[in-house]
Amino acid sequence: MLIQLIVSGVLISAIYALATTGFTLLYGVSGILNLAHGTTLATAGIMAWYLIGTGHVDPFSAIGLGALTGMVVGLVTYGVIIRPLQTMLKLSTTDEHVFMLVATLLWTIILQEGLAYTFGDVPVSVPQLVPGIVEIFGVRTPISSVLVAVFSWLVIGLLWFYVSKTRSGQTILAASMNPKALVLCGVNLKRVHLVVWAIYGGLAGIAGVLVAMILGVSPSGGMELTATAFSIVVLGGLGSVGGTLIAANLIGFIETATAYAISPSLRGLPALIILIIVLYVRPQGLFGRR
Amino acid sequence: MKKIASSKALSRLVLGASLIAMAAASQAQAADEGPIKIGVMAKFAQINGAAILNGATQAVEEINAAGGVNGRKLEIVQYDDQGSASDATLAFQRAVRQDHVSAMVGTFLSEIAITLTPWAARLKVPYIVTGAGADQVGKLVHDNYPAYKYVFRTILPASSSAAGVCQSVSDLAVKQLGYKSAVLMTEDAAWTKSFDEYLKDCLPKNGLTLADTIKVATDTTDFTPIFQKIEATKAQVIVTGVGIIGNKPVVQWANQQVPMLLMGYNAQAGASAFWKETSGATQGLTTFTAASLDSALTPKTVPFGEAYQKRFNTTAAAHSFATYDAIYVLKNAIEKAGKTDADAMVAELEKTDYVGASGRIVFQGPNDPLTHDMKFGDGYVTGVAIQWQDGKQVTVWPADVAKSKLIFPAFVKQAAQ
Amino acid sequence: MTVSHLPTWARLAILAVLTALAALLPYVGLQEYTLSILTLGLFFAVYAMNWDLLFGYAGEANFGATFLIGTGAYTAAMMSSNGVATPLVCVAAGAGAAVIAGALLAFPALRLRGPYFGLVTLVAVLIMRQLIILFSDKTGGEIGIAVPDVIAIDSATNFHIALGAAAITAAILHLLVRSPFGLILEAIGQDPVNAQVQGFNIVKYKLAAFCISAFFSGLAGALMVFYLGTASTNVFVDGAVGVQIIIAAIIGGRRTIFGPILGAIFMVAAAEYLRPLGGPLSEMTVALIALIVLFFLPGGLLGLATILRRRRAA
Repeated sequence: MLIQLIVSGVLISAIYALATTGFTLLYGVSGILNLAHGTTLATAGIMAWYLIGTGHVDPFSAIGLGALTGMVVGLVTYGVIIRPLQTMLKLSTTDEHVFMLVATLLWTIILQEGLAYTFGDVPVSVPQLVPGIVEIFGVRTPISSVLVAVFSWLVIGLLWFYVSKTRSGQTILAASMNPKALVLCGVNLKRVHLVVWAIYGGLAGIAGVLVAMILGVSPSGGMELTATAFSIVVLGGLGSVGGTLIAANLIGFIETATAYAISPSLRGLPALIILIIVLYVRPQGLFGRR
Repeated sequence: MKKIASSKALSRLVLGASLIAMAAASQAQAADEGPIKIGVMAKFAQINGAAILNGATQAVEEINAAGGVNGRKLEIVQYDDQGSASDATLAFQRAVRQDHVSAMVGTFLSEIAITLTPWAARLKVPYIVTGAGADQVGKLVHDNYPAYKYVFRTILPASSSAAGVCQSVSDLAVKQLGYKSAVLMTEDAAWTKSFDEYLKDCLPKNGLTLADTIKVATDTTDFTPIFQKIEATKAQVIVTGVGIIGNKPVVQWANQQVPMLLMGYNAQAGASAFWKETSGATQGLTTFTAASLDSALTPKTVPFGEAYQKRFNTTAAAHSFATYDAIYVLKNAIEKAGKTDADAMVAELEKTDYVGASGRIVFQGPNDPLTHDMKFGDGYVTGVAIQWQDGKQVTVWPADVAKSKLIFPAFVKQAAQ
Repeated sequence: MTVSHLPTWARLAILAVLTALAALLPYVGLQEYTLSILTLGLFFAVYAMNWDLLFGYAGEANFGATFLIGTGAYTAAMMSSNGVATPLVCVAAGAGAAVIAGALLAFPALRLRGPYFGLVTLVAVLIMRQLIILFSDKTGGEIGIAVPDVIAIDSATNFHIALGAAAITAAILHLLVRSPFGLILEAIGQDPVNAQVQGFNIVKYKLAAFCISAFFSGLAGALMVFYLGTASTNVFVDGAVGVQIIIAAIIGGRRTIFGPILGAIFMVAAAEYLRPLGGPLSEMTVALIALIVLFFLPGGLLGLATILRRRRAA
């Protein structure tokens, strides 16, 4: 049973990790909690499902098209919702915070109902990358799920490489630490934000297609995905990518272990309770900076 | 109608006293002339909501083409409940108080049917549930009879579905395939309580021992642990009871190649779009449902199914059958009562004995456990079991209407012994 | 010059007159159906006003309004369906239970800052939903609980109950935010550090505000159960409903108490009259309108009234 737990825990955690990395990166750099995150994932997933259904697209290209969809949604979110809110209204920091949350929630509803209107409000699943199964230490696992897990970590690895080894990535990292100093150095912050939103959208798009492949997505299920991502990110520490990755694995394993060892019907509860306890004891999250 | 309305408004301003008489007169007028209005309520953006509306449309178009009801046409008024009980309550009040519908049909969610049942009694309007299957609806009518006598149902309640599941699984798994053990996997929800109890008793009696009973949270996303647990029991078939969870267990069953058939009850799999939603992962899944296109349960089943397919370019779901029959049941009651008075209609509805597209519809009486639910079993409504085979729902049970033997997905081994 | 400069008694008098006028609505030929929309809108208004008390004054964004509403609603519904007490006793018990649950949640949570407080309140809703589903033999699970009695069937009485609840809530909250307690609360919300320096016990004041908010939310939730005839999770314990409440308060005008009444009625009425567009399109349109209000009228609908009056004065 322990091996089963480890195998399925690793697989599900990889998806959780990829699906939340963009969310936490965005918060780290721009201080914005994009509550339309889950719906961004769902948009990409549903688009991939639709395109594959037309018969002209295979699941591999669908991931690429999903990334593109996510990028478009990300940039539209920034251009239509976030940017105007920051520039048009002169709000105090607290007020801007709540306005941002409300605006991204309204944006969620608009996206979600648009999807429901176009594609119907039904849960859909993207077909697997490849059919077939493989035995891992005797645990029968779909080959596709293994590929998805490997691919997730690959994308996260690429992101790490970009942020820590390239000039443009370093600028983003600097923006998350001290935006004012960056402006003094002559960096165009607006461009940095555009790049971050594009990267965020791409990550969310890829994650959306993979989530649709493993777990399925629906227009109204976006909010639930946001809630899961939110919990993971807060548990890890808002804005800390490393903390998020650890928290994603923690929640993935706790959920799986609960389902195995206690009861499948209690699956979600322990993670929520741990989240509450962590918040009370260490509100900045397990790995967050104060 | 417009003139009546505006003169009504004027009179309200001028003469307070004559107001009540006027309003009553114009309402009576609206009720006895012009088309008979039937409300249809569901969440139309969802496939099951569309199935309900299409079933009603099909029936109303047929009836009107054949001359209507007592010379009056039927007219459908749509109410979108958005899947929310508070929206449904508002819509129901609007239907009765403003649009003066003679009856209401539809509603997919049990939560909404439970909410509207007392409202149908308070506002005294016949209400036929054609989507929601929780036993509580029939129990409410039973416990509050005669106050709640206005509520009927033409879709099978969960306990009847449980009986149908038990009979179909016993015939298919035990008699045809020689299976001896099963795992019961149902979602952790209020409607599965009676479902579980019934099957835990009935399946072993019919030769299928239950190796385990697994309750699954309705928001479960990853079924890997559950399927591995089930496989470890070495049982031969999974009997399901799922409605809210959606397509996740089916897709993951196929992706993870769980080597046992899925049978039992899956609300979503009864809908024709299920193949597309799951990208074909439902191949080989069997579910109990009210009626299917290719099974001649009654002389009306296949003609309805074909006409529906032609008119709406999709196949009829269980709720389409239920709503189609409900409209005809209403039509007969109005014809016999000779008017759209609620109590007169209810009296006739209670006497219903009608062979519809889903079977012979006779309602249970005030002393039966689920009052105004359809009688279930031989000679009444029996339901069918369908299996998804290459994009189509094929009837595999009961034997006299079955169109095919069970097939096996590549990853399920047929060898039972 | 403007309403905001009127003394408290004058504003309460205006509220009383408006309430009395509104109470006459059922007798001037308003359709019963319109009344039922307003009834729901008024219950919604109570929720939105209480959210405003927490956000507009105490400076805490509560994403879990339905935790409080749901506690009131489910307590009342479970008591009533088990035949424990009459509807009115159940309503009182619901309000009481909401205060207790609210205090238990808020006492530790109020130490948290910014998004963390909001998150805890949101998670509280999620946990409550899970528990309702888990203990479905007691709570009715996803199907909900039908209550045997309603307080009244006819639309006018139900409208008057909702109107009364909204008017009393508005009056009390208004008096409260203008009292010394309210002023301190507002000071804490605007600048917690400064308030602390001045020696005010921040947690104590916020906790009190939370309990007051819980009381009225629970009360209205329980009353609404006896209006709808059922308690169900999608109406009473749902993050999305909590979001609607926030949107209503913001587009009505935050930090005004009266604004959220406008916002709530606007939301319910707009959704209802856009219904012919079909489910998704009507919800989309409401969200779009709300977004436009958010961008162009950050002071909300009540802010618009103030702007217009100023323009006329100028």
